Order: sequence, then C-alpha cells, then structure tokens
Amino acid sequence: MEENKKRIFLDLDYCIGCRSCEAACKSAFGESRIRYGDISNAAYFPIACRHCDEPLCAAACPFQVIKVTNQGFVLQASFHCVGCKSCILACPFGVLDKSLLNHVSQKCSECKDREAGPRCVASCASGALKFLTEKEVKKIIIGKRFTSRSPFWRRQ
Amino acid sequence: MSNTSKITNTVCPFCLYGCDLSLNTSNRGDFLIRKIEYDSQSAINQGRLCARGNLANTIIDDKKRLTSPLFNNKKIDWVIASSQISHQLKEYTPREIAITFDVNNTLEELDSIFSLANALKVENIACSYLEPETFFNYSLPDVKYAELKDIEQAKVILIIGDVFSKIPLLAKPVLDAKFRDRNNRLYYIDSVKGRIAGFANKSLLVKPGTEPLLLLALIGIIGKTTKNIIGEKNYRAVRKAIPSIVEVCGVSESEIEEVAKSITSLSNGVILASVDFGKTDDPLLFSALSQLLQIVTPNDKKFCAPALVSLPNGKNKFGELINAVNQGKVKAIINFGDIFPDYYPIVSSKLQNLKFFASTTTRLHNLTRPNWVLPVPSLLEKAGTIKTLWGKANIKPLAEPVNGSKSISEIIEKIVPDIELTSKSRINDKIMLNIDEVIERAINFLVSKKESTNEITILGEESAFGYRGMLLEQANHIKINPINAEQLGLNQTDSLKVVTNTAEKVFITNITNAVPINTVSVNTDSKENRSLFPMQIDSITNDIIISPAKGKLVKVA
Repeated sequence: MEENKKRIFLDLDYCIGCRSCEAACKSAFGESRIRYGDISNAAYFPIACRHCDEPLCAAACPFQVIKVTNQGFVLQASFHCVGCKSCILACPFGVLDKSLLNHVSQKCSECKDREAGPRCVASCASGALKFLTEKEVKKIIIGKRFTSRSPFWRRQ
Repeated sequence: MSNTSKITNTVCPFCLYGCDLSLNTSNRGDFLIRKIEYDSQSAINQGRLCARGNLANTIIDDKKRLTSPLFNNKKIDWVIASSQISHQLKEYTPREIAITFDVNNTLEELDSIFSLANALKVENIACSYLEPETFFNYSLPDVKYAELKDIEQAKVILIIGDVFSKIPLLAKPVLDAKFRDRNNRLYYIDSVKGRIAGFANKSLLVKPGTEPLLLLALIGIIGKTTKNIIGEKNYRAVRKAIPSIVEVCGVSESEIEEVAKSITSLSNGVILASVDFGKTDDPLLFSALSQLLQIVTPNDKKFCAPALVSLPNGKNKFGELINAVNQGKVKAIINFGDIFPDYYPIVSSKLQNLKFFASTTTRLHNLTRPNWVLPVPSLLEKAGTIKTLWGKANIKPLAEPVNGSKSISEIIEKIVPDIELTSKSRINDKIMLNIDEVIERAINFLVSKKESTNEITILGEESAFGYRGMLLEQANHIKINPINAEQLGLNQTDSLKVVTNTAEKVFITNITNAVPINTVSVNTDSKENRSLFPMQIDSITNDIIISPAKGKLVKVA
C-alpha cells in the first residue's frame, strides 16, 4: 500500500451498528455499496471496499470494466457493466453485494465525486469509520484498541 | 444543458439532537438531483448524521407523496375541497369534533392548530404521537438537564434503555467520554441485551418491563441524600421494598450496590434515559424514577432523556379522546400530521366510525371510514421553530413544497378565515409530578409485578436505522432465547407465529441470548408488529400506555 493512499478504516471500539454508513451510501447512489455484519449484537462490522493493490474483482471482470486508477482507486465504469456478477464472486472479502441495481453491480468508488472523501465516513454517527493513510492509522493505534478494549473481546 | 448546484442548510427535524443538515441540489437539464452534504465544521454533529438524516432527500423525492386532496381516496380540486370541508365541519357541534396533531409540525404550526381549536371552540385536542417517551414531559421539580458538554466531560454515564437506537449521534460524546480515561465508567440498564451492552463496563439486565423497579432500588441504596429528598416515610418504604425488587427484577443486590456506589462517588456524571414502544410496563414511572435518580445522586449529575420528540403542550390527552369516542360524543377528527392513524393500528381501530379530515405528506393512510386527506409539505420543506435537546432551533426549507400541497396555516385559514393566533403551544412545557405520588405508584407497581404470570412476554425494540420502512430488513425477525427455542423445537430462521390478544403474525426466528427466558422481542418500526401490543388508558394521567404484550408462540411447519 502506498504511504499516502487513503483507505476506509473501522475503529471497532466506536461502531454501534447504526447503519448510518449504509444509509449515506444508499441516499447518494440508490443502493448501498458498503455492507454490514454483526456478531450477536456485540460487535458490528461495516464492510467497505479495500481498493486492493491487486484487485481480484478487476481480474475477474470479462470486459475490463473495473480498473485501478493512478491514485490507487479501484473504479468501475458502470455504463459498460453487463451484470455478469463475476466481480461479486471474485471479491475475497464479500464486499460486493449480490443484488444488482439497474442490472449493474454496485462497486464503491470512495465517493470520488466528493472532494472531502467518502460519504459513509463523513456521516458515521459515532465516528467509527475513518478515511486515513496507513501512517495515520498507525498513529491512532486502531489495531491496539481492537485487541485491548474492543467490546468483542470482553463481552459478557 | 445547464449544470448548477446549490447547498441549503437546516437543522435535522427527525429527533431532538438538532444536527446540522445540508442538501446539495444540482440541476442537470430538467432533472433535480438532491444529495445530502456533510459539513465537518458544524458545531453539534461535525457533519455526522444517522440513517434517518441521511435519507432525508428520499423523503422529499418519495414517490408516495400526495399531490392533490383526496376525498374517500378520489382526487379532488383544492377549491372544492376547501369549501366542502368548511361546509361539512358546520354539520358538527364543537363537542363532536376532536383535533389531533403529531410531531411533524413546527411550533408556529402548533400555534395555528391551537388557534383553530379556539376558533371552533373544540375542547378535545390531543397529540396523536403516542410513543412512551412523551412521558418525559412529566417532570419532577429540580431536575438538572444535561448540555452536550456535560455528556462529553462525564466521568460516569448511566444509560437506561437503548439510547443509541433512539439517537445514534449520542454515541460519539458518550463513547468519547468513556474512552477518555480508563477510570471512567459506563453502566447500562435494559431488559434486552442491546447494542450498548458491548460498550458498558457493567450491564444490569432486568426482567421485561421492570426497569422502573431497578431504578427504585438504586434510589433506595444511594441512601443519605435520598432520605433528605424523598422524606423519611418514603425512604423507609423504598428500603423495605428492595428485597422484593431484587426478586422481581432478577438482578442481585450486590450488582445494584456496585453501580449505586460508583455513580454516587464519581463526580461529573450523566443519566441518559430512553424508552421504546412496548418495552416497559409503566413509562410514567420509568420517566419519573430516572429523573428522581438524577436528583438524589450527589456529585453533580445531570439528566438527559433523548426522546425522539417532546410534546409542545406537555400533557397528551389522547386517552380522554378515546373515552369520548367510546361514549359516542366525538364524531369527526381533524388531524394534522404524518404518522397517525396508520402508525398505531390498535388505536386507529377505535376510531373506525369517525369522519376524518387529515393533512399528511404521503399516502400512508389506509382509511376505510369517510375521509378527507389533504397534502401538506414535509418538515424538510417548512420554515419555523422546533425543539432540540439543547434549546430551540430554526429550520429552513431544503426544497420547495411538493406541487399541489398547501401549508397547515393555509388550510386552517381556509377553514376559518381571519383566524386569531394564540401562542398556547409555547406554555405548559412540563407537567410537574409529586414525589409522594411517584413513590406510591412505584410500590403499587412492585406489588402488581409480583403477581405476574409466567406467560411469554413480547417486547418492542426500535432500530437505529428504521424509518418509514427504509433499510428495515429485520421487521420480520423475532429474537428468542435458546432455551425457549429448544422447548419449541425451533432452529435458526424457522417460522414462528406470535399470537396476542390483539393480533397475530408469523416471524423468522433469530435465536439469541440477547433476550431473557420467556421473552421474545420484535422490531416496532413496522406497523404490523405494533398491532401485537395492547393499549391501555392510564387512570391517573389519561394518557395512552402501550406496554409489552402477553401471548403465546406457535411453531409454523
């Protein structure tokens, strides 16, 4: 990962499972491109596209509709998508939703139409989603929190 | 093709948190595209929004929006509608008319509604928003209410009920306060192990509907200050009741003592309370005892009850209205609001034979009775004043009112030309409670709970993301304890029918330890689920109480 390449990170300590991120995405694009899972109401996981360095969704696309930009974003040219669902099957993280909107798979673009960054991060009600570079992530020790104070590891 | 965009700012009107809400409207050719914008500089919410606020643009563009008056579900012209409504209202005496309003009105509109009642000499005026949180309008003297900074700086936070579902934005200041110092404490009281349990240092999970009793035990255990405030006689009665409370609530005395000791000793604290539809047996006691706990707890504690809305005129007299309808005194209702009567099937079934004059934004109504339905702008298309937790706020229109709609004041002026405005909605914000009466009611409540049976209890739960059916996948799910599931031979995702005195519905089973034994929990953002819960009229306040339902579970093959 490039040092200045920003990604969507989850601070597990803060996620309350309010699904505001999903609503923000749905409100802007008509369908949510960020997914959500929970473990017995104890821990919540919004699942955002990782914009992989070597994206398997792009490799699986038979029409080269998904491409990696110079800035490291994995973007989809929706107009050319035929809805074959190859990308959905290929994503190792299960981020791409099975349902198609207008016969097109829904792929996160990290809200490239919005200068201030992704809408899911901006709207996150509890401040759990963050849009950071790897360097910034290390500084705020999200990983340490995950194992030390996260509700998942000390639920009753 | 022109391509312009404009940002409009307002205060989100969907709850009391008062978030700044911005809408980016761009014009691409003939198409208007509305997208929510997030202003990171906003003082209250820093651009954050919950699911409801995020979906504000979809409310404006909702395909179900009404664009023409309807008479018995047939479109009719505004001019004919206005004259016929004025004419038809004259057929009734003032005593035969009731006026109802809900929370989708600004304070100025409420003034107009109260003025209409004055002009028509109508005495039956009630709020049709019947959520239990309206009981937070009943207040004890000397309650200290929290400001946002009190929550941010708190060292100990006690949460009663699923506050994060009611107002997700409160999670940020609460969790910031908790994580600021490892000695800070977060305690949680609820009957269902909700989302807050994962964040709390300690969760006290009580038996269904008994939250007020646990609060009474905490008040009794706190001791010295309690005695001074509630008086020697009441204090002795509360102390005497503690062993019974422990038995009824199912929480050990040592756990209650631990929480009481912690919230008493730590300075700077907040008590946050919230109550869901069909979750507690006595919402008035829930409200009163959570406030009393704040009053008796020493070392600078503040109270915050983030109810979705507060009633502008305090007392909700809907029970009196139902009684009048039952006695055949009321024959017509003029309703101003979106959510009634569809939102409360049990209540609206009592009003089947009345003539309805309803103003609303969407075709929500499923009225079989003779009715008028008039389109009005939604709260997002109005200017005016609303209440927030932190004081009053001005809302501005994010979009032009939908074509064909008329404002509530315009409608009222058509009914009564040259109406004289009153400012009745701005007074009587809170209705004061008496501590002696509260303690007496609590002790009586304890006695009634001791006699309760072992029937299955059906609890209501709100979701943080359910609003008018949007993002609501779980309305068909029912939470059931593994022990009950085993007794019924249920596996995950099996079908389970719930039968109560008022309705029955088939759900998909979700087996979880989050609900206690002999209790199931359903989402109450869906009106079908709401119809499972019984309605009672409180004998003291004449308000409507919708408590947890009793019923049976039947496995569906």
